[in-house]
Amino acid sequence: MADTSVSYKCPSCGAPLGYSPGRGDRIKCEYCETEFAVKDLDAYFAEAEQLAAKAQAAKESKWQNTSETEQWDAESATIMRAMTCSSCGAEIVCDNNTMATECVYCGNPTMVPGRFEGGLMPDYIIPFKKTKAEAVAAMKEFYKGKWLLPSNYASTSRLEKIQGMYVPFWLYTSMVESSAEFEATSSRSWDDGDETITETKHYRCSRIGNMDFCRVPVDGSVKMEDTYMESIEPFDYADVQPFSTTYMAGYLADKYDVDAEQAQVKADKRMENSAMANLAATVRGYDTVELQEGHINKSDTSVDYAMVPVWILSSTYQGKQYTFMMNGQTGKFVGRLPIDTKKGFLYGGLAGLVSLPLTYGIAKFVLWAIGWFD
Amino acid sequence: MKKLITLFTVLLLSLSAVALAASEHEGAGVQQPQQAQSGKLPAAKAVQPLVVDEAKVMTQEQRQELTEQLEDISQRHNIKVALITIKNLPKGVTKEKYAEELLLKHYSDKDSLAGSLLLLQVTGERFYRICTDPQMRQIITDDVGIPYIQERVVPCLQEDNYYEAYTAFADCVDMMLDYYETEGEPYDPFDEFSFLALFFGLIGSSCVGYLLYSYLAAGMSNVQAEVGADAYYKEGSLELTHRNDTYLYTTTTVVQHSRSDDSSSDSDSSSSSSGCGGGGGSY
Repeated sequence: MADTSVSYKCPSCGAPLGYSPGRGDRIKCEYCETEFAVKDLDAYFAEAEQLAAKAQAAKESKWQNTSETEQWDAESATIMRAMTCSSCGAEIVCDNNTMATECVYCGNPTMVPGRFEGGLMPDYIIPFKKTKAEAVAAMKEFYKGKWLLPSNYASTSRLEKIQGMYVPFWLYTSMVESSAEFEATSSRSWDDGDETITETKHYRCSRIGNMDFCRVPVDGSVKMEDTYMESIEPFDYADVQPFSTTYMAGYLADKYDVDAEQAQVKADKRMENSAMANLAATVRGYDTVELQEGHINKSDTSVDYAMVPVWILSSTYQGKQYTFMMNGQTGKFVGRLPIDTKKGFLYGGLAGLVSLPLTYGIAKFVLWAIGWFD
Repeated sequence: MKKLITLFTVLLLSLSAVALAASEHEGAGVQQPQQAQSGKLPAAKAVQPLVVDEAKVMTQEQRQELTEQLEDISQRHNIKVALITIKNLPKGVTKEKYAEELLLKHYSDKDSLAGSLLLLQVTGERFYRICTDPQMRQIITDDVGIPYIQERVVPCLQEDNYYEAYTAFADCVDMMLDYYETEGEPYDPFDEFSFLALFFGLIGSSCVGYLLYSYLAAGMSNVQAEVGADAYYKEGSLELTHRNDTYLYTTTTVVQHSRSDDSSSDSDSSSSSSGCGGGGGSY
């Protein structure tokens, strides 16, 4: 039976191969210490991937005939796929979006064929630069100085999973012609005896300008919460590499399930906001500037499909799950921590108590100044 | 011999006349304001009444009650506090100078008294002056004590409730002297506890507590949506192709200056080379 997946094993010793963060376009076997170029491994595994894709297609066509009688229901059958681990022969079950995973039995890095071919082939990949250990250290650092963190959080919370994952992103590049109307005012005041006179001149300022935006990222995964993905920005595109499955060895990877057209709405809005801000900055010499209306027209647009590295850390505390993410390239760490409301009341109350003499004095002074103090 | 007897008799009569004249001169000091109207400053007198109502703005009974009140205050605090009303000031004399001369010549005794002060009211010119001698000035200060008294006296004067103004003056002086004797420092109303200020202070401190809590709670998460694409804007790529600023219209707002005192009275505080203090003005 042909393999329906491709295990990334060392061509030299047969041990599992995994990409080590920060090693550029080289990959080194941890067992025999043989070093390979990414492009050489790509060529080495390309044929195996094609064969696996064909074998997988044949297997799926068989399923379509039998799915109603198997234990999977119709819905599961459409979103789940099974394949054979080419290393140990075990059945690996993954969803339709999985591009890279590892065998739950032998732990071998496994590529799912057919998920990165043709139109599904990403254009770029940003390889991991941050290691798992750095992600754990960043998490501990993230706890520091958090006064409202429950005292027993560090000791009782359980770090359930740390997983490196390549998240699909759409990168939008465009020349933007933006036009905007602003209302601006300039004021001057002077004293005239018993009166203060303020004269405000109102202007309508129109601006049209062109500007370039390069690779505005929008995540293409429904699974990943958008705010988390936006929080780990920005990415440094200096490290971007042409896509290669070798970089994904040892990590999870999903293909996109939000297409470029759907994701574009968000990119357009972000570009529009920045374009308006840039145009507003050209309205100078006024005291206030307020946007009345604005539009953008895009030209020379291009969309790239890229895989972006993210460390995902999950922990549970008092039965509730908390998720943290770290940009696998820059190390930017984001997350939400639980709040100890008792501590909140304590610190807030103490601050109120300490500030009471000051606020009392200020209140007294104000009352005195306005003649309410008797 | 007859000449000698005649000469001696004339001498005695002359001395008697001089003594009588001197005695009459001293007695006229009680009616000091009358002399002042003739253009002279008040003359000194050993014992002066604490209430001189030359302008006749009080009834006899009110005068008596006020005198008793001022005498009681003076005795208890070993000071002299006086009230003088006149219809008009003598010509050529400033209000401040006149009040100061009255105080120093008739009521002040730095050797035996802890201090003295008076309230002079000129009804014809609707003017008042509170004058303190150098000792009393340390107890009732120009910048705090005098304005405090003015705040309570002037409104009554403006409504022509003169007796009420005088008793308010006496009450304020009594209270401030009590405070000084107890606390050892001049009375400052700002030092008094205020429930209203405490109420607003509690609101303020609650806001401080809430702000701290909000700040700390905000620090528990750094997950936030990105609304712009500034990080991906190609710096320097902005090329303006159209720029037009059009003047539309002008609006003008006028704000009246608030007055610190919207009544018709004015006040001032001043000190002189003699070290006296006080304050006063029209009402």
